[in-house]
Amino acid sequence: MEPADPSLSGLAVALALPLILGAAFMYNLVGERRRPISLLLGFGYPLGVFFTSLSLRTWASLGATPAFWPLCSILVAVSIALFVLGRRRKAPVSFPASDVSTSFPIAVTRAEQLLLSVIVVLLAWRGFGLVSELVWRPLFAWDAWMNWSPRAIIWFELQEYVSVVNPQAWLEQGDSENLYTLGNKDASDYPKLVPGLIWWTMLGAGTSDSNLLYLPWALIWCSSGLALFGYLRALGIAFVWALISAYLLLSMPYLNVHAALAGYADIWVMAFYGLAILALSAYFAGAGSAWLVLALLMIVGCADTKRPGLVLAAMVFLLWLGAWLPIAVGYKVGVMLVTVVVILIGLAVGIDTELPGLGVVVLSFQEVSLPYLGSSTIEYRPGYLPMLDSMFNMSNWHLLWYLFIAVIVMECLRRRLASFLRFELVGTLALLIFLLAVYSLTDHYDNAISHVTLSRTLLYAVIPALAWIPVCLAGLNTGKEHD
Amino acid sequence: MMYPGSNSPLRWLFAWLLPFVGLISIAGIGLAQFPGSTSASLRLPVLQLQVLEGQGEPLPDAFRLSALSAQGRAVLVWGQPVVTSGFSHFEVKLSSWEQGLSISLIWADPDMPGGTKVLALPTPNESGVTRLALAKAGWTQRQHRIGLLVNGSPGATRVQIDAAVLSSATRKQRARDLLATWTAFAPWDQTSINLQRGYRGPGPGPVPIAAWWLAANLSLLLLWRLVAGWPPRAALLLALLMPWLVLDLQWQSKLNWQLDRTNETFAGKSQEARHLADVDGVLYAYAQRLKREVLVDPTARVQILQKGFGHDYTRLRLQFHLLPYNIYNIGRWPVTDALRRGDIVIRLSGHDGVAFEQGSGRLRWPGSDVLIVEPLLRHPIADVYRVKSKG
Repeated sequence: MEPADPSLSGLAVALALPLILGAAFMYNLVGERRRPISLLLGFGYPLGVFFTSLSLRTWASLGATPAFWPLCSILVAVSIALFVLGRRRKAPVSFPASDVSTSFPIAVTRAEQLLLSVIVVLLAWRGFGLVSELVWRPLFAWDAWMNWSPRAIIWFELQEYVSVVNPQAWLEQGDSENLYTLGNKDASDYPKLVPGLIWWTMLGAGTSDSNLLYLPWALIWCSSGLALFGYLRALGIAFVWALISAYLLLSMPYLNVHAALAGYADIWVMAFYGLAILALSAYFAGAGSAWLVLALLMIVGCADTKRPGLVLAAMVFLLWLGAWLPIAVGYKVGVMLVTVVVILIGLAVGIDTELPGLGVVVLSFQEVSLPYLGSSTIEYRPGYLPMLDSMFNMSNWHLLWYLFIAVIVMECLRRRLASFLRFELVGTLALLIFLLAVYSLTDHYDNAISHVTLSRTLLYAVIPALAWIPVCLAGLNTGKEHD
Repeated sequence: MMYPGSNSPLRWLFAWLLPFVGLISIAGIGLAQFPGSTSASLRLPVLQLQVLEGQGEPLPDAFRLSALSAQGRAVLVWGQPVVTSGFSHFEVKLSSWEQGLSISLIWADPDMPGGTKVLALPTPNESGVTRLALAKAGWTQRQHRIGLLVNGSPGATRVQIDAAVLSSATRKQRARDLLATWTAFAPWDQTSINLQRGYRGPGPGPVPIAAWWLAANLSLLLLWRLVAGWPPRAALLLALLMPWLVLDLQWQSKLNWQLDRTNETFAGKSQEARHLADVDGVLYAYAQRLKREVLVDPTARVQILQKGFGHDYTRLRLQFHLLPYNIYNIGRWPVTDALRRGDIVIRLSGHDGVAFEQGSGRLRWPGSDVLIVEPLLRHPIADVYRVKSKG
């Protein structure tokens, strides 16, 4: 049984439609002014993937046969409607005020032109290499074929949205033919955005066995760079800084590997979490409520991608709540401290209760167990060591974290409090502190030491970190805020 | 449109020179950290080699190894302990060598009895020379009893050892060794998705060194700012970007190397041929044969039995290749309650806890449960049985 050749036209539609849908949504959402195409495409693509995967799963769960072209027709119609509505919108939604024009001609010197040309050539070279690797090598990365693609293969081959349950449920529920399970006992309960996306491209390509099915992993690599570039441009950051920031992101070896050895969910979590933070930052900088909606959609997408995405979504929500509370900063710090004390008292007393419909919650200084997220003993181990190794010694991130530290020191020396209150920085530090706590206090320490999950979780922090650095550096030699 | 205040040629020159000055500064400081600016060496007398295993004899100016033991080894040692302090490399010159052999340095520390350490030497080059950096693998700077271990097929062999030398490397050699660890290529494997270490071997990786370069550049920028006001934006860009660009070019070269391997293995082939060319090509072919010839009933449910627990590659990958068959593959023993007539049991090779009795057609395992099965396929990867009834 040789694998069927993919339908290239169907595949092209399957790849393009999420991009068009997401861009149309962004076009409608962010208003008349300041919407560089890179912003629409960069934010739009993960959003479109979320909408498409959700639409397909909803369609199938309603009992309809998962048919590609009818669903395409609906999504195309929705995209057109969003574009038309977007054009009719009169109310301008401004991005954070800036005195620097984002229009052409771009203010760069000849030396900078040379530098930027080198960067563009390098990016093109990199993109070609990553796509070639992806297109030539059959699905390779372990979790991709163990956790994420099997459900899509089952749904596609059976042409039915059958239930995939954990092994215990599979055994208990007898000999139903429409009940499946996976080789990793936890994977059946993982969120379904990624399997839904793979299923979608399979429906378009007409096969479940083609390397081309994983091209969305190259697209999300590219769109993440576009999103960062577009965001910084919309913020008024100079072209040269925006392009360099996008290059720094897209050149990082670890991100490159996740694009080339496609199939993991982490690159999607990186995009959803990172763009949620940027959207929240734009909202609180006065870009309008549309950006709050965008942040909300991004965190829902994040939670629909991977279990840790739920924690990240909660983190973004808490950041929003902290910024939204209409009280003075001093009171906010007070509320935070009281919350910490209450949590510590709760841990000291010990909580062991069953939440209706969710499961058992156990919280103590010895053990933590949360529904959906799992359980762990609590014990201190030096989780910072493998974190430092990954961030500062290995080649995963090139010089990102050194640059990040250098800019923090620089901003301390410049005494610019405003830089430290930016959401990009807070979102990065909150995640790093959370990871430090998880890898130092829970059984996940083993995954940090073996580097099985450590760098994957650090990946989530790179977009906000790389959005914050140029904001601080941009006005350095002119005194202007964003030059 | 030119950036304001950017029209001074001297400032531009300084802007371009700054990262290079930073690089030279950091390279100078770095090289100064390497001990031993001059090379020293200690020639070990090969004629004094003693044969502990295998056969060999000294020649007028070399040592000849004529046979490996029945275990496929030869062990040659120098009788007297050697003071190895200060030496960083070990080199062997061979004038006769055979393909398929491997040679290692072995040593025992008199102060730490109970363990002989082994360090494989690289394959000799065209001149018969193989050289090893001793900073690897716990080489301690003290007195050792050392020797050579040769592995290969048992019996006669023809190896002639001309010279063995302990040497201390010059700074240049050390720098070259360090560079070699940074630029060594290794194909992507299942750990590549978890981390990109960026170098192989001891010593600092390229990232911390590039960070020192970045720090030097930033220090020079600060100096510029203090002495002559704000440098042009290009100076800041170059100072920040050059170390990153150099790291990125190194990464690009590794990516190109990987791409060449991937191209050689997979490009221009059908999807079927790509699977067969992959690292699990044999497993894929086996799964396709099962689908084509053995698992004729698509509604049959499959249980894959594995030897151990955890994420075993073969069981998980076999399940993947067998999709969309309905497969349960967790556990060592068949779950009889979940099996019905016509279902399939696959026993991976190496799993000797489940035995098939040819005469009675029973599948047995510890405990009281038994399955009456029909053997469908015996294969080095896995045996396949169809359930007829529960015993």
